[in-house]
Amino acid sequence: MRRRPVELWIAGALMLVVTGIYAAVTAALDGIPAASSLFGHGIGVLGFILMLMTETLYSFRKRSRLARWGRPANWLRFHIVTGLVGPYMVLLHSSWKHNGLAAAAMLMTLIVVGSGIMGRYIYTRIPRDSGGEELPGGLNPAAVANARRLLATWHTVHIPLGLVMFTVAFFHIAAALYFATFLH
Amino acid sequence: MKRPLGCLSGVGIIAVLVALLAVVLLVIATGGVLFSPGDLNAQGDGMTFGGVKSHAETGGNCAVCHAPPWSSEGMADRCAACHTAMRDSQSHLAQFHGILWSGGAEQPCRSCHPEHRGSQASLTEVKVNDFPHERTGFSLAAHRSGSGGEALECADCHADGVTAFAVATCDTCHTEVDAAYMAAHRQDFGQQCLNCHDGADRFSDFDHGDVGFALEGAHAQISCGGCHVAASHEDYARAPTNCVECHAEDDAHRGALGTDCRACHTPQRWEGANFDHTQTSFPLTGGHLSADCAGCHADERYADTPVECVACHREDDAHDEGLGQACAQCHTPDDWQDAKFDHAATTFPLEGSHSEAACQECHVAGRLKGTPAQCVECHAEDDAHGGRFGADCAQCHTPDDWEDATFDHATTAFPLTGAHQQVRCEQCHRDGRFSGMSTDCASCHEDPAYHRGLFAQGCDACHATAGWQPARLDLTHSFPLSHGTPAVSSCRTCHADTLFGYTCYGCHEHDPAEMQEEHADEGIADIGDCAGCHPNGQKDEAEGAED
Repeated sequence: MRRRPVELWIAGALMLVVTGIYAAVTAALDGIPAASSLFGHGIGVLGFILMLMTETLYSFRKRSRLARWGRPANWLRFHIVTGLVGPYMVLLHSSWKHNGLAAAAMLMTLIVVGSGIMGRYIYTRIPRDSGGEELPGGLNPAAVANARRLLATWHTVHIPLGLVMFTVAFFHIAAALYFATFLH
Repeated sequence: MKRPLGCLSGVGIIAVLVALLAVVLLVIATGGVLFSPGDLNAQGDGMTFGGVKSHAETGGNCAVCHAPPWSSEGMADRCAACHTAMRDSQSHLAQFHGILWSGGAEQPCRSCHPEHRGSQASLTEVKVNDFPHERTGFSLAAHRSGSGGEALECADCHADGVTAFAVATCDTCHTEVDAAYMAAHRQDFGQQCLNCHDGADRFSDFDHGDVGFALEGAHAQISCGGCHVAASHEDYARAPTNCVECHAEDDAHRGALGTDCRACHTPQRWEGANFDHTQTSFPLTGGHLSADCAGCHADERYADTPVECVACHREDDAHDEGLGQACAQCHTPDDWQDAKFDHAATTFPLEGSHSEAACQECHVAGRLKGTPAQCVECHAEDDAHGGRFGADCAQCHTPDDWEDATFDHATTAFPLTGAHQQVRCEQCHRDGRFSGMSTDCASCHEDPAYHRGLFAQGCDACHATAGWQPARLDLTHSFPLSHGTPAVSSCRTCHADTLFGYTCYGCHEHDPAEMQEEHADEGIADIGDCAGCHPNGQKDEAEGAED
């Protein structure tokens, strides 16, 4: 049975909500909210927390033998929802300016999201049970084996990309705290 | 763990280290420009601060404005390092910023002077509503908009820049609104508006007490226009000081209490007026203390309020005005029920059982006045005599007890003496008959068989009421009563069973047989009537007797 992309609908709905709020604030302020404003900071912090959650919780669930809460398929859906909504909020936080390290962090974010989208479609080419666990064989074993190899390769690229993105983002956050919050 | 977390994998660690290295190298190579959120301002006002005419001229040397982490300096210190005028107390700018900084939490320079917004962006961005103007000593509370409702801008008052203010600006603007008023106001108080006005419609340095009317209580909380309604020069100069001139409409008494509001009220609030009722002719006590003012002072009428109880309590009169209007004679202001009536003050003092009877037992149906004082009017049903003794119960009875009647028999034709005093009434007055009684002994006492029919005289010829015995014998007794030793003291000595016969054997040593024999010797056979031969009881007096 073909799986319904529920996660994409949820992500799309949440992004619509965020867009509505962003539009309302933009209208109220009579201008794009600055990254350093209360709303700009708020949407950036929330978006980053979502991104951090999508990485840490999903990775932990996949690899942990002790903490086996929920089905891996649902965790992947959660990963996809937060992996789309979080970066979208961070994108709005940028106030559409591209300077220095912040722009680099933003660029890395977009790259990782693109990589994730690719991975999602490679993932669906491998037969799985309803819980998300892989099933042996398939109608075309050669194609499935190829898909598995492709997914493994994708993993070795997607994860380092994400880690580089987080490293740059932490630098950006530290700099914002240093200059704007502690006024150095 | 089946596999290590991605961040702990070899590829992951390498990726993080590479990213770290790249950022550090870029920071070193660019001098921190990597962190710049945008271009610095390239304009300037022609003046030179810190050797440059604009921030852009620092050439991307972040350290000019941003102190290193190990320095105790902050960004504001770096601002002041170049903008030395900020520290100059003679500078308008210093005064201006000094006022801002002294009013509480220090505002960072960048809150009004944002940077990195582009080479052409303004370095000063202050929104009127956000600027804490009250810290300058003049609130903008009343200056958000002009007389026409248009939003006011900084330049409307600060034509020469926000750090300067010409006080004449006030006059210029306000004269446009009301030229006549401003002319008079200016003449009275001068043109130094800020000496009195602080922008919040409050006098900042004006002591209202100087004009003879210190603002206290609620007066200190209201705006000037609350009293100075017309806000005209004349209104301020001759504002009334009598309460009623402003508060006539507030007078809950509608003028009934005159115009001296201060006698009861304070400027704190109208409620909780402190009226000392003891100063009146009617001090409040008891239940009057908790009564509502309007309970007595209906229709806000306070003067000439009647003080007679009945004026307010006519409807409370449980006696339906039957006892007159002197309520206080029995009642106190504490409680109607707690009445204390001194019955001794009436013509009917309560004594005996009357003092224990409930009021309504005599005062039937709440009738207090005109209660009958005659016994029979209450006690007709209690009359054990069925009315035969008339209505004057008190002649015999007392209020203590019906049974404890005390009848003075001495007032009758038959005073009780002797044993008559000991008998119960009904022993003589049988069948409850008291009147028309015979005083003859025989009406009560039967003639005894001992001497029945013997004496025609009344019993009292011989007997006294002290007792039937001893009887007094005043009749002629043929046989000497002095006979014998001792003398005869009782009839029964000789008349043992009846007065109709006698015997001499009772006391003498006479033995009938011996007497028979002794008289037989004399030839006397019939010796039945001793006294017939011995009328004086002497042995030898009989005829023919031997010596």
